[in-house]
Amino acid sequence: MYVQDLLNGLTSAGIYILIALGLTLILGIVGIVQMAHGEMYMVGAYVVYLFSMSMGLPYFAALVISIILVGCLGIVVERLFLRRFRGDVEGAIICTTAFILVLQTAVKGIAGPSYKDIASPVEGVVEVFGARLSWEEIVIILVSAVLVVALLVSIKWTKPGQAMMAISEDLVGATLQGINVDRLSSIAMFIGCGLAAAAGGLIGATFSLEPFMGGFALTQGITVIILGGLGSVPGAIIGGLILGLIDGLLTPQVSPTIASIVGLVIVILILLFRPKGLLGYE
Amino acid sequence: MKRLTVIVLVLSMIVALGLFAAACGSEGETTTSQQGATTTEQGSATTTAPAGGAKVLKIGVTAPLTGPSSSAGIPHMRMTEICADWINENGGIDVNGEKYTIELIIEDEGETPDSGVTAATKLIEQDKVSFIVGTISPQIAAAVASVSEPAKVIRCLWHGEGTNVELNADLPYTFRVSICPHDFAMELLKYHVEAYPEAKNITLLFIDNSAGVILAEQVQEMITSLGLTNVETIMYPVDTQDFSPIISNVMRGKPDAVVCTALPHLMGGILKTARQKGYEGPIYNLSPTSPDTVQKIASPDLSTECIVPAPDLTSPKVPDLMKEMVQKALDKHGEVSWDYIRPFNSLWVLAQAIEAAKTLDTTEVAKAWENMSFKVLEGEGTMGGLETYGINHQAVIPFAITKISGPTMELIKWVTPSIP
Repeated sequence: MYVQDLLNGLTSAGIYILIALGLTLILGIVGIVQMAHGEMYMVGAYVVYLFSMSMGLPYFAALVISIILVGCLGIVVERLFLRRFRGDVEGAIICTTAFILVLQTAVKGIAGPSYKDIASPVEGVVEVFGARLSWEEIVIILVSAVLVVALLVSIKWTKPGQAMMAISEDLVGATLQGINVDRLSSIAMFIGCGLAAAAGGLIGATFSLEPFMGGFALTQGITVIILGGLGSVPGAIIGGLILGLIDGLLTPQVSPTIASIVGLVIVILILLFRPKGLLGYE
Repeated sequence: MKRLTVIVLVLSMIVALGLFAAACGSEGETTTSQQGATTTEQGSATTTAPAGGAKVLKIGVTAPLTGPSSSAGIPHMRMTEICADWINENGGIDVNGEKYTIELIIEDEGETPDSGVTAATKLIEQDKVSFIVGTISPQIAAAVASVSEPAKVIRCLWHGEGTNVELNADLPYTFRVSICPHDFAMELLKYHVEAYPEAKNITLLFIDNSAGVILAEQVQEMITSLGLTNVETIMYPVDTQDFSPIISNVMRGKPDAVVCTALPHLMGGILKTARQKGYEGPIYNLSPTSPDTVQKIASPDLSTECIVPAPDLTSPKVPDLMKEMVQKALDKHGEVSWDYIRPFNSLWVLAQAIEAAKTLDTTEVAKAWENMSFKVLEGEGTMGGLETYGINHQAVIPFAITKISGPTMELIKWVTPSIP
């Protein structure tokens, strides 16, 4: 039974990590708290629905298209709106909160208020050491792992990746080194929103879609990045794993409510005793 | 070049949204439904029609048209419009020989008690309505009473959670024409005892809110009274998206059956996950979720042994009038589910109460309503609730027990609960 709980936790962690990586990249590079990040997750799920269910494309093709389109939406939002709010915490929060309403209303108006569902890309269940894991969950774990590794590699081995880390650690220093912060902000928004879209598309195939599904993603994403460290990519991965495993391991033993409370208590303790998070910067 | 890039990106987004709209089917919203052009008397709920025509009776509708509850609120509002149209097509409301056509004035009640009160206040003070139908949230229903009751405005609630906050002896102008989860519970549990006599251990899986806690206590008593055992009660957050850890918790107790409260998408998630994780016992929902929606979200292959208190709208056991309304909803909006159909009764029974009272005086309408029998889409209904709520303002109407069995579903029977 513990293997089942562990695998359930890894599935949850995969989603949390994708959401939190996007949020932390945007926070670290663009310098704003992207309150509409959950809505990018929701839009990502709806775009997968559009291309796979309405237009008949294969699920994975729809997922890639969703990542690209929502990433582009992120660039547009950054270029037209968020760039003006760099360093203005309140302004950015108000602006991105407005986007929550805009995106929810737009999707509800276009797609309708009823629940949508995306057909599973691979059906069936696999037994692993007595635990039952659906292929949808395996897809979540695998796709999340691939995207996380791709992101880590690109950060470690590419110039834009290194430049993004430099901005995340010291904006002024990075600017003085001639790093083009505006260009990298756009790239960070593309990656961040694309990762949110990937999470939305993955969860959409497992459960259902509705225009207000983003609130959950934002809450979990913020919890993870506080836990792991604001702006820290490894922190988002560690934080997502911790939160996912708390969900997977504690919920079956106690209750969903207590598992949520434990997660929040850990966050409060981190804020009290290590405000920079587990792997955050000073 | 940079500007060009931005323009191209914006245009590509617009194209993508356009494609989205085309593929998903645009669903334009209306905010008023007007039947027959009339001249309006300032400050009056009724208007005078041109010579020879019927008078117009304004009826307010408060629905959550924005926010998460709009997933139910918009279909509810649309069906109320269809009901108004249907009543008008059939001659309108006959008030002591005088014909009135219905004009709906629809207000968005939002998601909070404040926004609900604002919507109701506008209807009462500005539009001068004497009758309101609508409201989904019990919290909003309770708050709106603070303005509707002093104004003696009759409200017919679409539905509720069955707490005394929504209906009680201090709310003489508030009525409800729908069945609440605890009224479904006893009948579904009785069905369970008949259909699965060996399955005695029940786990409750309820939404974690105040109404859920109260309901859990009530259902635990019912379980005991029927000789069953409550293995455990698990409360889950309403924003749950991944049910795997919760189903692991459920399966740890090895229950023979699971009784849930869940919105349609949550029920789909619970059913799908439970079957994927290997749970095979029957799963009940005490919320009247459309069986077709549950089946669609869970996928037909995994939708086994799921019993809900709502009809399969394609069943031959569905009454003809309900079938007619299903067709009207399909013709008008292109989709239909139980979430569309079920608010129909609220406006229709209100119209019957006005006809029974033979006056638009709301005190007289309330008196007539308390003691009348009436028609609903499901058949016939009476009023009850004196013992339960302290006032005879709860409609007692039949509901369907439907079993989803993979790709097929069966409307097992219509039952009328006892609501003393």
